[in-house]
Amino acid sequence: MDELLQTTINGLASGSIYALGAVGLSLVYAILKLVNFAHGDFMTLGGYAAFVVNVTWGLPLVVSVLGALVVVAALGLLTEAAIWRPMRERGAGVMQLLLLSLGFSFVLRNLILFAWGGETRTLRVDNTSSYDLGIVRISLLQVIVIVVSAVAMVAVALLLRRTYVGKSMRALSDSFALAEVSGINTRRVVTYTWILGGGLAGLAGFLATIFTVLTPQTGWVLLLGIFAAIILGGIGDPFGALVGGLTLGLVQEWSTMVFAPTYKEAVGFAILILALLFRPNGLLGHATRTG
Amino acid sequence: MDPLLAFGFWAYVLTVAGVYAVFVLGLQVQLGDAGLLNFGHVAFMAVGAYATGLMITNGVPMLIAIPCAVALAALFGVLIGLPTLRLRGDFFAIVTIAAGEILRIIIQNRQDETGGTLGLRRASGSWRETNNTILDWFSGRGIELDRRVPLLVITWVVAVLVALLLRHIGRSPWRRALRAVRENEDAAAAVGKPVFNLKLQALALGAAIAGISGVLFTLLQTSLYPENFEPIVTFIGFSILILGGIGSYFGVVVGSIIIAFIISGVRFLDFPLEADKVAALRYVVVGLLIMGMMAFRPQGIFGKREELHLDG
Repeated sequence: MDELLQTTINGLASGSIYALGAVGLSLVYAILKLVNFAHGDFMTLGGYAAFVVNVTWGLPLVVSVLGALVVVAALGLLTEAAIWRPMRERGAGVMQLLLLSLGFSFVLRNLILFAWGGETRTLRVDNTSSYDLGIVRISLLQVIVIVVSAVAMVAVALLLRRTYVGKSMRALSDSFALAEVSGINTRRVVTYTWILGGGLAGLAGFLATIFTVLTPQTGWVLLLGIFAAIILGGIGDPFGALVGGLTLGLVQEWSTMVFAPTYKEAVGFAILILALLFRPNGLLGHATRTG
Repeated sequence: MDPLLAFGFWAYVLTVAGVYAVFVLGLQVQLGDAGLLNFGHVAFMAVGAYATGLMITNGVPMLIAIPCAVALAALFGVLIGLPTLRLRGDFFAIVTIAAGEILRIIIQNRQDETGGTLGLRRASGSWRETNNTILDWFSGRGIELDRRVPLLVITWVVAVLVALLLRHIGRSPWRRALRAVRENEDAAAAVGKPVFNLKLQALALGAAIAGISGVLFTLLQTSLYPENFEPIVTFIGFSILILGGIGSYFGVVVGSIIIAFIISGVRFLDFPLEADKVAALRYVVVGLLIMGMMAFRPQGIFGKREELHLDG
């Protein structure tokens, strides 16, 4: 029982990081039909932006979060202007954009390796404190990760449900063309999508950095799990991506009660395959939109 | 030693290129003919390599181990294909990547059998002795060969044979049916083509070819490590395919040589930089090549535009 509670806490923390990454990637996919293979490397860049602010410049951790958000959102906007918009205007297909993002992920990951080298980096954060809650222990980092993710998720949910921009985003994800003819400024919505998707990637990268360690591979390694979370939750549904991410984190940690921890990732991918075979529309079971 | 003149080094780079060429010919069947976006291709290479290595280290003669390994790779293709081929294109891509990672993690964890991260030593068995016998035979006739030449020749002979086989198959009704499936699955099914079986056969054929590349890889490296089979290998394969051109076997050959030179061949250039920075720049170039091709010439150097189906 203790072990179950302990692995649940661990799973919620690692699942929160998957969920944040998945919600950002899912938004970009829903609105722009871009399966962005560079999303993991966007997260990594967020981690390094935070590293520069927090360690190189010596500013507080809170400021470094802002650095991560701003840098990655800016990268999203930059790639939109330089790559994705011109390609969409030339009528590029889904697979063409996917392979293009794959090429970009090579470029970004290796520019990061070029700039900062392959060494493991950490932020100036208290990674030893933990609280004894009687039957389980929870570390300060786990508290930070879970609380920050939860706040971010509630903010995203409110944005999508309550604000004009959020409603426009959902309209675009239903039908880009219909949204455009009904007078929505699609270009502005696309800009907000990159700010939101990039910002979430930056935040996820920051949390992954403080929770694990930062190397040029950090985000790329998480990417497959993030895809798994999105598919588990039902593609193109940000709320589903959240559920998918938490489920993945929990199942991976629970599996350590049965299998060796080194099989954790493999268990995650096995869940993904099972989910695709038996619930291809995601755990929440929405009908998939096609076309 | 002037590396430009170091024949052995260039023979090695060209052998790597040949192994990639065989590997990518498998992708060519799957993506070029059947339209299957297989992001887990490296798993089939891993099956070919580890099956060879495990059989040889357990005393199975090489000439039996190699065909068995290739057959196992094809079987693994069927195993992966049966549950997943009904999925949509982008789902299939992600599931195959996941299946490949599961296999790699299992290989890494079963240290007692596979050596895990310590590596599977002497996986190529008596190949070194065989190689020496070949070299002695030539030097007995007054021809002194570099020790890397025999495998270089074998690799490229295999690559050419596979390409010829595929070209032969290419004139068959089988490939025409396959391309019909790629163009329009519903229409192909409506005229009575067994859509699912055709896709499964293409996946298995591509897997067998990747298995062959795994055998060649084993002979080249002599030791096998799980990190040799990370997803990045599949993506390097895709860069070759994209560069050379989807639908073109000649393009695969040219693409393999270009990419192998970028990744392994530029070591001789004396950059005023540390080794890992140079390594990083090599992959930046590969990434830029993929992006440039996708943006400006998605059909590749030698591909035909009408062969290209990237609409998902």
